[in-house]
Amino acid sequence: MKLILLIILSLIVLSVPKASLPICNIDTAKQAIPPRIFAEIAIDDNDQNVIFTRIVHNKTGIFMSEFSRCYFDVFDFNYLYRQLTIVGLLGLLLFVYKAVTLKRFSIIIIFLLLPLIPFFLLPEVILILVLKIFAVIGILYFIFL
Amino acid sequence: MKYFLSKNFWLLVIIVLAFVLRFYQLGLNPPHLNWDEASNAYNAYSILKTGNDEYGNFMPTLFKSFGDYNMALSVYPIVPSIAIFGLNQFAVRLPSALFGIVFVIFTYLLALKLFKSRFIALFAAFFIAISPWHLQFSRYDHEANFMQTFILIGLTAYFYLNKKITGLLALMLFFGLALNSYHGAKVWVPLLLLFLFIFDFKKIIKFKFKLLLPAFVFLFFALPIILNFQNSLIRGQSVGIAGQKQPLLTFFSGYLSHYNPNFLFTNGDSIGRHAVSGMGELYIFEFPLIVLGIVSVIASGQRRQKFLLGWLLLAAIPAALATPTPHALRAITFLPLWEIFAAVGVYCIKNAKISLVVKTAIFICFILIGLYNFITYLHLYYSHYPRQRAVDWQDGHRQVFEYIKKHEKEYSSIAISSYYGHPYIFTLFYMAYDPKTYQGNKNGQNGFGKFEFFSDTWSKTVPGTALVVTPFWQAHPPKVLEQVYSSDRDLRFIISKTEQ
Repeated sequence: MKLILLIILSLIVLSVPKASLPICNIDTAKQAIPPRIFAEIAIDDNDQNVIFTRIVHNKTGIFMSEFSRCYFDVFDFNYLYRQLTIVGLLGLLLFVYKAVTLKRFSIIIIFLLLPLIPFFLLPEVILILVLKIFAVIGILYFIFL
Repeated sequence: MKYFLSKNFWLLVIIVLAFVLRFYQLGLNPPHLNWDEASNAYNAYSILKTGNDEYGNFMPTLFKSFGDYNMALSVYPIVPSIAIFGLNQFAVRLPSALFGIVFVIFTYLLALKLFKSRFIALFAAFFIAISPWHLQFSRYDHEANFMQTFILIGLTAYFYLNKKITGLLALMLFFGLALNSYHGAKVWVPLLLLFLFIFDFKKIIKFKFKLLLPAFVFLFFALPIILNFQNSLIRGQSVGIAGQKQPLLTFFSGYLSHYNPNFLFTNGDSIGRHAVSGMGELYIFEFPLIVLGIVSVIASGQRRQKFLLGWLLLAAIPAALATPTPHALRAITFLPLWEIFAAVGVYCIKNAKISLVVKTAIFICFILIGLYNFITYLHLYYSHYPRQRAVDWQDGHRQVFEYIKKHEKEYSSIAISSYYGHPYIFTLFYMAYDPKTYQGNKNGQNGFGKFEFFSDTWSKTVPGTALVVTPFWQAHPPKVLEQVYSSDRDLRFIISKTEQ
């Protein structure tokens, strides 16, 4: 019975149509730098100190801000819900919870590095597959342990 | 005294920092009072002068305001401030800033009680003192800030005294005050109480019949809502999800959106009054600390600390029951959770079994990134924010009334466009209009005394010269007296006058 339940829930998680991430990667992050710097500097006072302007509106800062945006897109719970269904999302949360309580910190690090896949233009399907596998493991934990 | 000062030196430093960040340019930035602040302030002024609100109701427990029936404590805390400092922007915002400082102190006390670590408590207080989320709402008058401060005081009192019935009494007293502060409290307070009751069921149930006393206290504070039940539902009905096509799905999606790291760390709330553009609600350097903090609390297995996890899961519910989402104001229920988790994260790094060199390098990285985030925030708040969000704060009205005050006597009537919304309340506030005279008006929102408010077109009804205030693009008399610019350097109003 438990096995049938696992198979059904896993099939639900694995078979839902894939939801796409917003287009956000290393290229878009680089492209965003000049217009953002221009827009931000345009708001500043004309007599603002140049060094200060460079500190608060610089390429590295804007690139990191764009990188964060792309990175966090993957951990948007609405995206994960569309990608995995509610069952899968709960499975994924349980998986992370178990990884923490069992102190499997290498798995947590892998989980936290997942958003780098779409950022570096690697196929998004890799990310989706890993997320789904983690979610199914979470469901497995829920049913059997 | 000397012992107290030396023992609490860092806490005092944090309180001073919180004070400076909340009081510097308090009356000037945000650049203008929004209409809710003006409404609360004028009602407080009206209470001070006459004991009645703007509609002539004596000491009401719900304020009709713009028809949304605000809770009593959205107005009464401002009364003493206006009595001391007069009817001005600083006086309106002063109570909120003071509540903000109290919030920092109680964050320290709560974290100290839950974690029994002064280190964690100090960092939690420090993070809330500099939090963009908390600073935003303690630098303008909003009752949500009052609500969350009462909640925090109540919880702290409960955790310090929870072996005695006095703990529950204090909890009910402050939760009762919170209930009378903000609309969202009608969901948040019962929800948190229920959770606390389940969480500490064994402890609470031991009080048996003594429980009647705190229940009575809570019921007493709930009376204004019970007695005005229809009116107290109005605001909830206008923003609630019940009218949506798929309310359950809207709720679920809204609930999840409050945990979206992009909302928390990079984008923030899109509503101009709720956040600074280009920043999240939290600093990005806090992200790894919060992850570490949550992981540590889960792994610790400490029951008291797990209370925070329950709070974390519940905090988005009040905000998810309304639209739009994510909503930083309604999600103020999250504070000071994120900051406490971040403080636990710092503690984890401090106690990590890694070499001192690596640890120092990690701390230096955090300090540098944190400093960069903080400086950027201050720059965005003090330099960009007034220029980007002037419209959200209805900027321009103050400048208009500064002109009107000087020239009022020269005109037989003054007509003001209502394009930017509720000009009557700005007129009452900035002209410090006598509440007693105003309360006699049955239709004050359309005009009173010399003042008339119009939407599309205006035609003269009173003989003599009239002063007309319109947005720059709206038809106005040809004789222009003044052009009014707002902090975003845009032309906001044209002041003109008619021929005799």
